[in-house]
Amino acid sequence: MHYCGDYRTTYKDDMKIFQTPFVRVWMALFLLFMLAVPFLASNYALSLVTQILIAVIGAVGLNILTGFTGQISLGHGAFIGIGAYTSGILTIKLGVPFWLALPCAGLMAAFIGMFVGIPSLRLKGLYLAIATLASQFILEWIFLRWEPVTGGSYGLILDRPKIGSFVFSADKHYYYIVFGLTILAMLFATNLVRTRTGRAFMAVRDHYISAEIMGIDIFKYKLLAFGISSFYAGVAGSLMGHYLMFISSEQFTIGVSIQYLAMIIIGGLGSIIGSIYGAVFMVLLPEVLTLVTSKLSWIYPNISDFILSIQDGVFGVIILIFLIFEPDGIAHRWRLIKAYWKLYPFSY
Amino acid sequence: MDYFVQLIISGLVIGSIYALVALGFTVIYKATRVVNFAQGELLMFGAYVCYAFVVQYRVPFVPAVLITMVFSASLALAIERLILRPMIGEPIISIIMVTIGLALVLSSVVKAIWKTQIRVYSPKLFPQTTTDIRGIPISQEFIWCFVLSIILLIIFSLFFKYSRAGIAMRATAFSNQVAQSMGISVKRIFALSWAIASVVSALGGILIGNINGINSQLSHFGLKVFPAVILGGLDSILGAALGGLIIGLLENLGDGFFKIYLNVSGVKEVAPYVILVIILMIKPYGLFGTEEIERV
Amino acid sequence: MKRKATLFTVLFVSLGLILGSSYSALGADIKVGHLADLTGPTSAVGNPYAEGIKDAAAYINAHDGINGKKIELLSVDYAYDKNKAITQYKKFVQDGVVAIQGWGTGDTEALTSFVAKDQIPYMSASYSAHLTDPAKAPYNFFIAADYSTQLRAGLKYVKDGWKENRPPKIVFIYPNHPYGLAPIKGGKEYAKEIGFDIVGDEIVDLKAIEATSQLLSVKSKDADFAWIGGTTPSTAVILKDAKKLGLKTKFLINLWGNDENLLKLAEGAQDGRAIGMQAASVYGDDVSGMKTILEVTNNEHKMTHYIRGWVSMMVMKEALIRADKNNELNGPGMKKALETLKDFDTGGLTAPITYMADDHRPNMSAKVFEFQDGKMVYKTTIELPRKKEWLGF
Repeated sequence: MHYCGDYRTTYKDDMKIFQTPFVRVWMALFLLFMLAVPFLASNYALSLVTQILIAVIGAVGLNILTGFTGQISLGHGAFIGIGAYTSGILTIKLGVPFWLALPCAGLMAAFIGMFVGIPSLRLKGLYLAIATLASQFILEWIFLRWEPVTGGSYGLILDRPKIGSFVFSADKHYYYIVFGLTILAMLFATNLVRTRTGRAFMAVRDHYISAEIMGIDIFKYKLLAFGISSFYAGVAGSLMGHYLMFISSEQFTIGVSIQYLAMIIIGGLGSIIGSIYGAVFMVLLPEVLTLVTSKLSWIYPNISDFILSIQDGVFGVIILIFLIFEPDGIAHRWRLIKAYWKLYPFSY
Repeated sequence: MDYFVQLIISGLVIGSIYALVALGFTVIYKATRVVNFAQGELLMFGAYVCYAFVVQYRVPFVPAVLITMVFSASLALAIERLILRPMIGEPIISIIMVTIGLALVLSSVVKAIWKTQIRVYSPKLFPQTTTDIRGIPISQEFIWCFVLSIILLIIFSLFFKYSRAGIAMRATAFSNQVAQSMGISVKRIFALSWAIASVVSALGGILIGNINGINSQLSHFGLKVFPAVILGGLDSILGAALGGLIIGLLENLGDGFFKIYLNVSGVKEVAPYVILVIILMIKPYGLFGTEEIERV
Repeated sequence: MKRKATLFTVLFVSLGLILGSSYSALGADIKVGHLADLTGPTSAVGNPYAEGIKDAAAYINAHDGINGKKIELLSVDYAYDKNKAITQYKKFVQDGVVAIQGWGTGDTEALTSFVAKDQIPYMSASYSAHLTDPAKAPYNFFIAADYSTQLRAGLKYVKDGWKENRPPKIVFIYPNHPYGLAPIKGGKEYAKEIGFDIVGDEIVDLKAIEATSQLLSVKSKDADFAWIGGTTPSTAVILKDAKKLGLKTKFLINLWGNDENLLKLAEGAQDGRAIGMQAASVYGDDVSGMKTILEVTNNEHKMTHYIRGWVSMMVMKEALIRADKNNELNGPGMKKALETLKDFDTGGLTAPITYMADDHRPNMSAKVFEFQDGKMVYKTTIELPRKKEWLGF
């Protein structure tokens, strides 16, 4: 429960992550629940949860760049690919342990991301979006064509990480790695936006001319945003690669970039928690649609063709509905629902 | 040398198709500042509608094309009214996403109606003979594409320069508010630009469909136009047309060059995007785009 | 405001409910997973293939089933998305499938290591040679001669008909895709071995709408033959451009690049120019197995991919019956049962099928069709020796 009214007297209070003891208890319970997931969930559900967590890392990264700093990137999918390939090549071809390859994957992606971010010095908005689109296609092409390194069109087969002789081969065990890193990623991002850097990002987003006047080095912060965002993407890619144990260029296409954009838009631009909602939504929606369509096509076999073909359309319609009726994303809607029930039945 | 001349000719021809699609893209961007990621889907939709009339309802080709144009225009008007208008004033990223959502919907409608099988126009719009230009035979479809994009380019240039609606569109592009205060209905201009773009794309779709049949993969052309429009400058009609031609040329020449001198094949797919990045580094607003100058 | 809040609450709750409910059991006995591309990039051929599988399963269930048990085919459209294929695969595993009917290169390559680990036989329509080596892909099976064997058969066919006393020149045209690349290495070695002069490689993308620059290069090299390892649309582009440029080259075409659609798309450019490799009969051929298909489909013409889908399911049925008799209706039991198939007769729909524990090549024969007067004309069946060193290449 929230206190009825704000008793915060210092800025420090205002910046607290967990505002009330109640929230803290809830978070602790939620954490416990998440830790118990591998024991409660079926394999399939567990694989979905793992995918969601990986998507959360990627989405938080993109949200730092697009939501907080206002730089549109259509190349996130390729940065995820960089992470996956870096980690894959390091572990498979050079025998580097996963634990070292993972940060390397992040750094490599960050490096390439910053390189791609250089045009942001001169390009704004749309032109930048298209520059990142170009880098997406170029990177995709490199994944496919640099055969000696990336395995070309055959892709790479990866192993699961291990400590000593213990291999995280069961999805159950791998889940904990992913979960731990997701928590770290969330904590870092939440804290980042409360620092000077985070505020600088938002200043660049809101009005870059004013930001410059106030002494914020726009180029530096834009590059930094690209770097951090791609680092997240790289980590997500590495986790994805070792989870699926197979990577190929087709897994990092423009479609993935679009999916991540959809996640943060639906979840809520400039909202860390929104990235989670968006990731959950975007991972589960196609599964739900598949489930519904396969049920429907079992009940109505005559029109199963039709049902299958409108699956993508339903996806598109949901995106459209969200953007037209809920442009601030799920995070915003969630706040409103909470506010509504908090005052129930005496809402205004 | 002959080899390169032939490459140039075939590059120009393929470039003219890019130019055609880019034209539609630019018209929308110029008037409404919307980046339309559904351009390829509009193209595909037009191709399928025309297919429905020509093959399924046995309408002769010319009336079928006219009906398709009317149909595409009304579709675009509906899209503009229902989807794009509520988005006026939203950030660029939301608008990009809306057109992506639109693309998904359009392509699934196509799949639901026409299934996934490859379709072929019969009878064909153009005779199946080829014409020789400097020893390289070129199919009629490509020549038509070339001619059509030049004609459309001229028409649009004149339209924007002299017609009332064209001038109003330019005014709207310059500033919505000023245009509105001068008595121009900005809403109508937005609708008009969508209708024009959709019709142009549908024509492009019909032409491409004539070359190698239509299926759901046709929408890939939508992404191919980005290098072209960026090269020309997003808001320049002339730029879009030239951009398309140049990208077509560089694609083919690059491929030939790399194959002969460096023995690397398959450069064709990536060359346009490399060019795009280089252009953006040197001339961020393209060859003919309006530069936005800001001073702090 | 209030209405909206309630609406969204209802929405989330109902979403939760839908997720909470899982597959309802259909009361069938044997579960078989089925991944198909019905709406994705390969759906033009994915649909007839999937239809063949579904029709065959329905036919089996209507006639005796598997020793009286019924097959429950869990069909899912994965739209050629590898991530979705992997997720669906996990669901299949959880649902306890004994075998999976897969589809293309994408899902097969992505799942090869998984099916090996989980011991679930995976039958698919990705005929890459490396899947025939049980040392590398112990649980992968398919029912057509692999791409490399087809390419070798094609080379043998044209070499046998070669009259001039200079080595014939050949170019390899393929997309940069595992499917296109798979047979190139093995094919080139064999080409050299039987006396071809290899003059070059060309890359033509699967989505190409023109291939002038590539074919100009073929023309300048004066190639007598060219191998096309693409899909039907890109093959049609190549053939049409070849006709336009007046090439004398004859084109050998991989199984997925020549089918009934090619006749529509190539508009006559195929005649006298295209030689297609196929593994299965064409609809309506006079073979014993075709009768059932004609009956099931009510004489409505189906593409040749349908027939391969059908055969794939029929082979699986035979293995299911054998595994069931051994009381081993599970993954390893299915693998064992499949490996007992020896010259299994598919009613002439394809060449007889044999799997061995150390060799998963179903057969070594390819049917050769030439395109003449707007028709696919069956020429001959090329039978190659089952050479050890070709296994997996």
